[in-house]
This record gives sequence, C-alpha cells and structure tokens, in this order.
Amino acid sequence: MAKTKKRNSFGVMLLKFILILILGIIALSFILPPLFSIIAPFLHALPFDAPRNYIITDYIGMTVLGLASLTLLFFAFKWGFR
Amino acid sequence: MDDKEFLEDQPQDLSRREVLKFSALLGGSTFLQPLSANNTTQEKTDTALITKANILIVGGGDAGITIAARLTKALPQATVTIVEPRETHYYQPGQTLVASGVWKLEEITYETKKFIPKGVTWIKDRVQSFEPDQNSVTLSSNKKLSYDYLVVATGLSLEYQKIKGLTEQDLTQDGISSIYLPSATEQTFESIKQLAEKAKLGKVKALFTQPNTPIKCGGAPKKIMFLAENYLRDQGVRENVEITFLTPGENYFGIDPYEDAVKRQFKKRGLHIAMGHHLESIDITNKTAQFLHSYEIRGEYDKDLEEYDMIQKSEMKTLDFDFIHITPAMKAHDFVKNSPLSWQKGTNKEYGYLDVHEKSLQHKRYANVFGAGDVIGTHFGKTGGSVRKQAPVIVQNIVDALQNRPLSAQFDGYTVCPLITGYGTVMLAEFNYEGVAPSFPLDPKKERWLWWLLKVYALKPMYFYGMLKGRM
Repeated sequence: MAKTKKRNSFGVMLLKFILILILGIIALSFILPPLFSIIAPFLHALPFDAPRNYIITDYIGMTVLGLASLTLLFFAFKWGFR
Repeated sequence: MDDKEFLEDQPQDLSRREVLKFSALLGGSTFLQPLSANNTTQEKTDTALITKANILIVGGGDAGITIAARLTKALPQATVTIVEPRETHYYQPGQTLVASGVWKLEEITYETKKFIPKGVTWIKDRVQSFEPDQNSVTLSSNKKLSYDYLVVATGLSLEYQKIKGLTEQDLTQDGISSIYLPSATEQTFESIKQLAEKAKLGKVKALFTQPNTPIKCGGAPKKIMFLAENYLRDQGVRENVEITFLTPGENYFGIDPYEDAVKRQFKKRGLHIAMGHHLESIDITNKTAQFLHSYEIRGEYDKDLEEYDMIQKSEMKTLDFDFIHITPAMKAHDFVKNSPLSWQKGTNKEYGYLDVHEKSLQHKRYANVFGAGDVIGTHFGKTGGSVRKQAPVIVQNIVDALQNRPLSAQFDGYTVCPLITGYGTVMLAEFNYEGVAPSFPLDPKKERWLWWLLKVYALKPMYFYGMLKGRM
C-alpha cells in the first residue's frame, strides 16, 4: 500500500500559525529596537532641515516595521498551514 | 548637556521595542475604545427615532460638526442647522507641528463646507445673542432662529489684546510668536530658526508664557518649547540659549503622575521655570516683556492657629528676550459670556463659560440646551479628544430627552494631551475626572516614538474620517 502523507487538521494548523506569529513578534521586538537605535542617529544627521530628518527616519522606521511584519505573516502562513 | 549624553538618555530603545510589541494591537485597540463607546449610543439611536425636532448647533468647529454628523444618523428626520461664520477649518492639533516645521500650514487648512454633513443646513453668520427663554437665537443679520434643542459649541476667544502693547499683527514679527493663531504658526518656526542663527553669535534668551486663564490644549505651550529646545540642540547652539517657561501657576502640569514626568523633562533639558508670573505687557521694539510676579512670604507666627500667616505680594518684573512665545488668555465669546447661558457666579463667570452639568453636558437651567467643546465650564475637556467623547453623550442625551427618558449618557471628563517632548517623542497624557485614564496598557509617563507616530500620522485621519464623520 502506498504511503499517504497525513495532513494536520485545520485547528492544529491555526494553532501553529498563531504560535509562530507570537514567537515572531517576540523575536522582532528583540531584534528591531537595537537595529533602530543604531540607524536612527545616522538618519537624524542627514543634511536636510532638522524636522525633515525625523520624518525621513519615521518613514524608514515604519517601512522596516511593515516589511518585518509582512515577512512574519508570510512565514507564519507558510509554516503554519502546511 | 552634550548631544551624545542626551541621546543616551532618550528612551528610543524602549519606545521602539514597545512599538513592535503593540504594533499588531495598535490598529485594533485604537479603534476599539471609540467604537465600543460609539456602539452604546449607536445601538440605542439606530432605532431611528422619527422626530421632526429642530436642532440648532451654534459653532461649526470640530465639536459642532461631529455632533451634527451624529445627529443626522441618530435622527434622520430632524432638522439640523449649524451656525458658523468661518469658511476655513483648521486642524488645530496640528498647529504645534506647523510651528515646529514638521508640517506646512496648508496641511492643516481645509474648507469648512467639506465637512458639513449631508442634510445639515449651514448658515454662514455670527450669533449676536441667545434668548433661551424664547428658544431662539438672534444672528448678526438680525435674523431670528428658533429651536427645539440647542447645542452651543462656539469655542473660545483668544485675548491677545489683553496684553498691553500687543496686537495679532505683531505675531508675524521676528521673535514674537504664538502657535494658537494659525496664521502665526509658520512664522513661529521661522523665528525659532532665526533664534538659532542669533545663538551662533552669542548668548540669547527665549521666553515661553502661559496665561492666567484655562486654555485649550493646555500642554501646547510646553510642546512648542520642547520642540524649539530640540531644534536648538540639533543646531548645536543649545548652550547659548537660556529658555524660561513663565506660568502664573505653581506646578509643571498639575496632574499626577504627569507632574513629575514633566518636571523631569525640564530638568533633563536644562529648562528654567518661573512660577507665579503673568505676562502683562510687551515692548516689541525694545524686546522686553513685563510680568506680574505674584508670590507669598511668611508673616508673623499665629499662636492660635499654630502656623505662620502667609502674606500675598506682587511686583512687576521686566525681562528682555530675543524670542517670546505667547499663549493668550482665553475666554468664551462675548455673545456667550453676556447671555443667560453662561455661568452666573464664581470664576467661571469671569471666563463666560457655558453653565452645563459636568457629566450630562445639559445646561443647568435650560433643559433643551447642551454644550460641547472648549466653551463649556467643565473641570477638564478642552481638547479634540474630549470632543470625541462629548459628541456621543450629547446626541444620546438629546435622543433620551426627545423620548422623555432620563438622560443616560455621561461624559467622564476624558482629556488627552499628546505632550510632544521633542521630534520623535511624545508622552500620551490621558486623564478624566477620576484621574489618570490611559487607553493603552503602557506606562503613561514615558515618552515614546509610538505616540509620535500616533500624533503625526494617525490622529489626523482619525479626526477627519472618523470623528468629523460621526463614526468614532
């Protein structure tokens, strides 16, 4: 008899998804703040008008945050629902 | 304090860490509270009460428009009218950001007509007088408007002329600034930049004043001072600028635990505070300001009371400056102050505030009159965030009154002050009649990048697409 691959039930997959998401948020909260604190002073020192430097920093910070969140969601779906 | 030392003192690590922790929750939690508050009103009012009631709203600022939007949903058959003479609507919470160069004035300037809800009649006129005994209002065109229910949301009058030697036109001059007047906000940033240039040549002095009346957005004079200080530090001239905050009061913020947190900000940034000082007059040509300094000294020992008598003293003090930021005294407009609707005794009479119950926002003597926004004489509530909480209360209470039910909604005094402590950091001070009332499970005393994001990027869309549309 040919071996069939056993699939997880939807409940188990959802649980895995949530678990990966929680672990990911914890991991990102350790990785991103030091990264921001290294990069931010460089961005604040950009040769533009003082307030604009902070706005550029905000945009870069939020973009990194958004990309990290999307990456986390991607892997949570990929590994959670397989 | 050098820049490196200051950067180390910044709470950026923690702020960004917590941004991540709560980023997933931010969207949800930001909207949860308003929606839950909203739902209570919406559930009851969605029963679409059929009434032909004539509801008049005096004032088309954020309070007037928000209430009108909610009324049209709750009472679709009612006649709702707004009386508002101004064709320009300013997003007032953004004035500090314009004055610090983050935004341009055009980014907070809108046409009032864009926000008047559908089905609401807008009368472009001023109110001359209220006749609450006849349920009518007289406009400056002498036209009389009658009403079944009246909502007064006229805001406050800025009393720059109370300062001798100052007119509103002076606020566009170099070194004389005020963020409370929209037309002077951009000039304020120019003056801060010019101050930085002067500081490159030698020692200069900057003064920031607070008046002896309650003011809208009470944290704003400190916000602009913190931002100016940040700008001067970035320009490398902070050590050449002596910054003093002059207040008639005897505290930094007045509400625990923010009092200590703000005091720490003053200390950390080397800012001076002069308590018991009120700006009386100004000499623009010579750049000097005269302050009435009131203080107490210890008198003789009273054996019966077993304590020293305290003697009130006051003296005029002249201070020279290179830059001054003026926060004007504020009071209700004369047509409110001189009407039967204002407070008839006590300190609030002097300010001319509308005499409403603190919780129901119903007038104390005229049951069909309600008040919202800066003009009401409640303990707290002179911020846009307060209006967001007042609007559903007023609408629900009007619905209750129409159905002859006891008024069920209550305003808890919610006031929010995103206290900007520098570019990129904000302390979100939230409180109500009971005390501190944080919306998020985070230490409210800490300045965070998260609140800066909220202030600069999230509050404006919430204001225009949520609050003014009556959705939150």
